[in-house]
Amino acid sequence: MSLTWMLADFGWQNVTQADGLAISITGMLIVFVALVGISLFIGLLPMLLKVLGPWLPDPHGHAPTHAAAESSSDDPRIIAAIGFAKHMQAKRQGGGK
Amino acid sequence: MEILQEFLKTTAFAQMTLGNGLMILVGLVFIALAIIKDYEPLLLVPIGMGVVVGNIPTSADMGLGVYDPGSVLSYIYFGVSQGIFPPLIFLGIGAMTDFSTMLSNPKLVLLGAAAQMGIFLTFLGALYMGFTPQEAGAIGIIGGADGPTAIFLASQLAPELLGAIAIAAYSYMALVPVIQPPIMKLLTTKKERLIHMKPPRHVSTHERIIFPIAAFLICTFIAPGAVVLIGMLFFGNLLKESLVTERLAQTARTAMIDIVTILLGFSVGASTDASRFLTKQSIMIFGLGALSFAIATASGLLFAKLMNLFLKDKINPLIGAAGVSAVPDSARVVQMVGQKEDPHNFLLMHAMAPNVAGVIGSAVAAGVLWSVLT
Repeated sequence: MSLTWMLADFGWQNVTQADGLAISITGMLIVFVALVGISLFIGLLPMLLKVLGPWLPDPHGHAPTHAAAESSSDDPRIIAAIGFAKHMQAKRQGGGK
Repeated sequence: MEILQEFLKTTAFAQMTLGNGLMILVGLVFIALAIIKDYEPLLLVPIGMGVVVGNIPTSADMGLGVYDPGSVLSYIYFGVSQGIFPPLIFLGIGAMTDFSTMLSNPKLVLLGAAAQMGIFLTFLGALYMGFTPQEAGAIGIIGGADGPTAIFLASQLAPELLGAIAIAAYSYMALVPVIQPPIMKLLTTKKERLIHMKPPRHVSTHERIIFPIAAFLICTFIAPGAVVLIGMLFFGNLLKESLVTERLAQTARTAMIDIVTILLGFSVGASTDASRFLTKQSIMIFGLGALSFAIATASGLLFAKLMNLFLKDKINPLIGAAGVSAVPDSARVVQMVGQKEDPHNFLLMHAMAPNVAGVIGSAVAAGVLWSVLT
């Protein structure tokens, strides 16, 4: 397999003809806008919930709530250990792509 | 005697090519890596076995291969070629993903966006190398480090490259523990790797329930092309967080995702028949795939360092590497590299935030490329 054969079709003109640069910049911009939008929403959510709180019903589940996890210690080592255990459990259950 | 001679002509020994032999070896290496090194065994064992099965030469009259209409393998592969399996995997992923670390520290979402730079720079690289814009888009998405997204986009934009793209995406995802650490060490100082981050704040049940609905609306209004993948991801998450559909969530994150993973992995592997797979294009796709992973990792790290210039509470830049959406392996690699510097530094929970943001980011990027290139 010669290198010339591999490089035969290479060229910057391929990028310009396909509007590659514009597509890349626009694409990256859209991804950032979407995730910045999510980030802003998450940032505002606690304030939104403070305002809407009185009208929101208490979540009721058919399964244990997150109360136990929520009331756990703020010790990062405990949080990390819980996270690691959950991660290992997810992995055993087929987690990951 | 004549019958025996005719039979011998139909055996795999008689029809075996060097390419088939090579691909069978590749399949066996995948299986060995999964079993011995524990690299993504849930993916590499089905794919590896599929590669072996797909490269056993059979008589064309028997119609047994993935590409033979009416064969069993072709029916299984239908879920891949029509992009059915990836959204189902996203449903399962949504049902097993805990977004709470992301909700507790929203600025980390930006790292998931930065790492998508790998997709668009690889897109440019593929165009430069002579691929059509559709093929380049499908190749670029390998940089998202997201197997189902890569398969989904390749099936829509460049079905002829699906096998090579899927194998490249999953191979590099399995090699995350090998590819990422050298880049992480190269681009960070010891002092940066030692940064401890604040523990995540408490996230209420209301936040967890509202988030998947709101995030779905934000993403799909901006990039409607992502509606299938993002829709299934957040639907799965809503099943988990709503607390009233635990049975459905349990099925989605266990039995369903397992069944789909088996069918997807095996049929993708079986689609790598040597005559279609061992081409100049496949070699270039593998090269571009490695490059895109490296760029994505570097982009996340460098963006984290950039953010630190403006932040009072510094973030450990290692977690930027988890912006590639290989969930949860890249987060696990961050934890591993961080703990090598300081055994008391626990970065896994923090790294999960950019990691899951990366899943959203790569799905949005796929939606954008799909919209623009069709």
